[in-house]
Amino acid sequence: MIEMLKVSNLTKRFGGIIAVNDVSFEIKKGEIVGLIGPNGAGKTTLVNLISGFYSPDRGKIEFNGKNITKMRMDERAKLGIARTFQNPRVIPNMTAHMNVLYAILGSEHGKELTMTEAGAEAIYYLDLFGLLKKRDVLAGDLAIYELRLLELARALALRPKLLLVDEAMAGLNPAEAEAVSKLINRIRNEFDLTIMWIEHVLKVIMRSAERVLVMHYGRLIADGKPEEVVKKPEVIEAYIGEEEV
Amino acid sequence: MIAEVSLIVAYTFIFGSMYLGIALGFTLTTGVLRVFNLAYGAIFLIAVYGTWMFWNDVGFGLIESIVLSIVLVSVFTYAVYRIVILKFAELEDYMLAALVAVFVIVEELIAYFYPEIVGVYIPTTIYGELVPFGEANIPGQYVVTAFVSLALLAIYLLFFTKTKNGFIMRAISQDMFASKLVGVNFNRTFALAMIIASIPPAIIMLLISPIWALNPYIGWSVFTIAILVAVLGGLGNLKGSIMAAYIIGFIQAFVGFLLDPRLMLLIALIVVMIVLIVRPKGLARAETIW
Amino acid sequence: MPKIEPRRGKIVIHLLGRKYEWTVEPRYWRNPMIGLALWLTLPLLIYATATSVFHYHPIALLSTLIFANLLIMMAVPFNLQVIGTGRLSFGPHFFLAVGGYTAALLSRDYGVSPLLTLPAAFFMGAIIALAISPITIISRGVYYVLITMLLPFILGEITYWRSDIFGAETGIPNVELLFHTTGNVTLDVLIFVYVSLAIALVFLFFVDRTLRSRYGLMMGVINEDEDVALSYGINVRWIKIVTFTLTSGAMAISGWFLAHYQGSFSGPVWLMPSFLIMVLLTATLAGKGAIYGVVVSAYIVATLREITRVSLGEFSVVVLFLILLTLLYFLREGFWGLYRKRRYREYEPSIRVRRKT
Repeated sequence: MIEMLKVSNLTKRFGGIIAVNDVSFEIKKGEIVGLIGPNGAGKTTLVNLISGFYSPDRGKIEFNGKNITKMRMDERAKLGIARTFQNPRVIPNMTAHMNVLYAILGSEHGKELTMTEAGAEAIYYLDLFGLLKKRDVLAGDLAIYELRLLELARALALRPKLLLVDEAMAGLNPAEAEAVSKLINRIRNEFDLTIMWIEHVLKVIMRSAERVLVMHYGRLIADGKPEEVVKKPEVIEAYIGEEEV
Repeated sequence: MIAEVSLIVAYTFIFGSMYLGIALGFTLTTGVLRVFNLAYGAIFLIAVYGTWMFWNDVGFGLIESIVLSIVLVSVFTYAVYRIVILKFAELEDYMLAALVAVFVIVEELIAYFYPEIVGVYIPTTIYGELVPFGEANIPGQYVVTAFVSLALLAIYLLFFTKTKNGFIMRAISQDMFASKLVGVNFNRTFALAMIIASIPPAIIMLLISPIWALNPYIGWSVFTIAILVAVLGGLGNLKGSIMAAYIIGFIQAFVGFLLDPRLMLLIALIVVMIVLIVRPKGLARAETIW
Repeated sequence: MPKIEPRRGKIVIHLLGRKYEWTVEPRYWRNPMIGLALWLTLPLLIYATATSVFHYHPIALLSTLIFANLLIMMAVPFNLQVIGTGRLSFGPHFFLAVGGYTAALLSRDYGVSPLLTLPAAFFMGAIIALAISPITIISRGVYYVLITMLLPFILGEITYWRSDIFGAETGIPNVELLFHTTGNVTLDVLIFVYVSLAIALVFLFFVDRTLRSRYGLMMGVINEDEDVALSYGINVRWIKIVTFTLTSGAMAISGWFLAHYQGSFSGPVWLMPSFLIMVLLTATLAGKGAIYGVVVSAYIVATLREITRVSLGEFSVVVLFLILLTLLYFLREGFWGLYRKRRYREYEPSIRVRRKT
């Protein structure tokens, strides 16, 4: 299989704190990779570095063999890196439909579509995530579960190659979390996606992900199959006091 | 040459201190309250013309008139806070437009009652003689104004570092939400800070009025200086404002004595624009007052 | 070659491998048509009836209309600029003065005809805007407001410094008029009304099309949340710089019109904060992002200004601004908001503007 994302020696400092410290890994095409770690481990910073929200102090990011370290966020989005945000960042005073529509119109393939065609495509993505009934509801009025789905629909509407999911489970009850996790697996298969999935909760990731990366204090401390990774002493140590293990 | 150097040194100090006093309140409202009080320029006008009204037209004594005009400034500031700022708290663009409109209304109102041809002169001269400095002689009133301005700064610093109210205001400037949680009386503290912020510019303006030619449209040029100092210093940070005030004072003294007095404001404006493009948040970070 | 394909309710135009869509829904045409007809006939009506019905000199009324159109010419590009850059600017009148000075100086000193000073004014405004456009990316919030507020002061100081060129308060006289006078002054003014109306209409048309196009929608996203816009792959910097440059050029055209209408141009008159506030309040009273509301509010502002000016003289600015502030106080959604509340419909995606400064 081909490497889709290759990260080497990535480092990011905020003042005196090293949020991401010399992290290197690669993700192959079609994989679902879980990224776990305790609070403050640097998971979200890593996602922000890959999506281009921050630029790294040191290191290199390659996407499909292309060096994207210096690229802006919108250029990376055009190459096919989409993300969701830890705290859903939809546009609150536009309807759910409009939120997805805008994503399509902004994206690269949307340039060839007219407004009506883009509108129809937006409906398709809303339906896929079961949001069809909510299409005329202002995004600001949606429940947290629906917001997570809307963010996923919006990210998928960009037709990405790599989807970065930042804590899709936070704030959801177990049944909703289960549904979201099933959906993510389903879209991976149907849309031929590569997914990097950041999660604080271990249980879900253990079932869904094929590979798990573990971060602790900005460093990558483990990389491997989920059932092997949880047995590693350094991972157990990192999670001491956390009830999920 | 030596005369010029001593002039520049002296006026850097005088202009710098004076501008600091003028900008002190603007820096505070932006720093503490995160409110960009564009009606601030009206304070200069109300202070001077209010005193003139009470003294010349109503017939109070000078000291009483000054006290009354400072009360008037406080009432005006409070009214602006209650009527405009609170009302448009969530619509910042409405608020800014409304505040500038208030400023223009005050300006036009004053221009109507006291047009430019009415000579307004308030005898607040404390020391009218020339003060020798090196090779240069400087009007004593300038020196008085500069020192009063520094004294006001010192009082402010004491207020913010030593008193309970000052501490609460600093807490608000750090984190508005958290201080709401610990039960700070928000509206009262806001109004108090706004009024406190409006007093130094009023005092400085009254002291400087015998030297400057007064007209109803002076508010904008003084306010421009206040904006320059506050923005260059990084809105809300007193350390930055002190640096910025003396930098602008130096620019003005230098340009005024060595180049062309007509370029004084222009060069200062251009320098500030350039600095803001290089350092968009001003010289010092505005997260704390001090 | 363009291929035109009619569909139900819309026309799709294929041009250079792209598709453009134009909604054609006659059932929604009635009110805009009535509005446009009213707008177009109003000057003629006033010209015909001013003396007999209102017992008022038509020139005064017609120049009020010109002022209203001038406010539209300023407020419409201003609205687009605020949406497209996601920032509130306090310097629209700076670009008016740039355009005015360019046109006036070229006309007086080099005898350039008004037709050529038009592109010159536009490009001057656009080039200066392009040169300072990095501020739309670098500075945020109130820093942007204050920087843009300083621009007119800088220009004002320059005009005082080089008063030999710019003529300070008296301005630049002897600017060629837009057309040869017809001999009848009132008729001349009427023609100027229609010229300003035409420019306002062109601006309105362009801005409306832009806001309804995909770029308008992208601007809507930028206005809401720049990070989300970036994650969509929207080139935020590019859109901001282009919007800022073009809208500033458009504002410079209002200066061009003024110079050739008055036959002179005096910057300090227009660089005053009171004109800025009239533009700002016209744009805000229109309702957020409501381009057509600008027409209504501009005419209301100009009428109020004329009424207060005639009845109160020197005191007028105070009363005018008090009235406008009261309107701002009670009409949160603007004049357009009042109309929309009664006749709400949504048949095309439109942007809703929520400004964060």
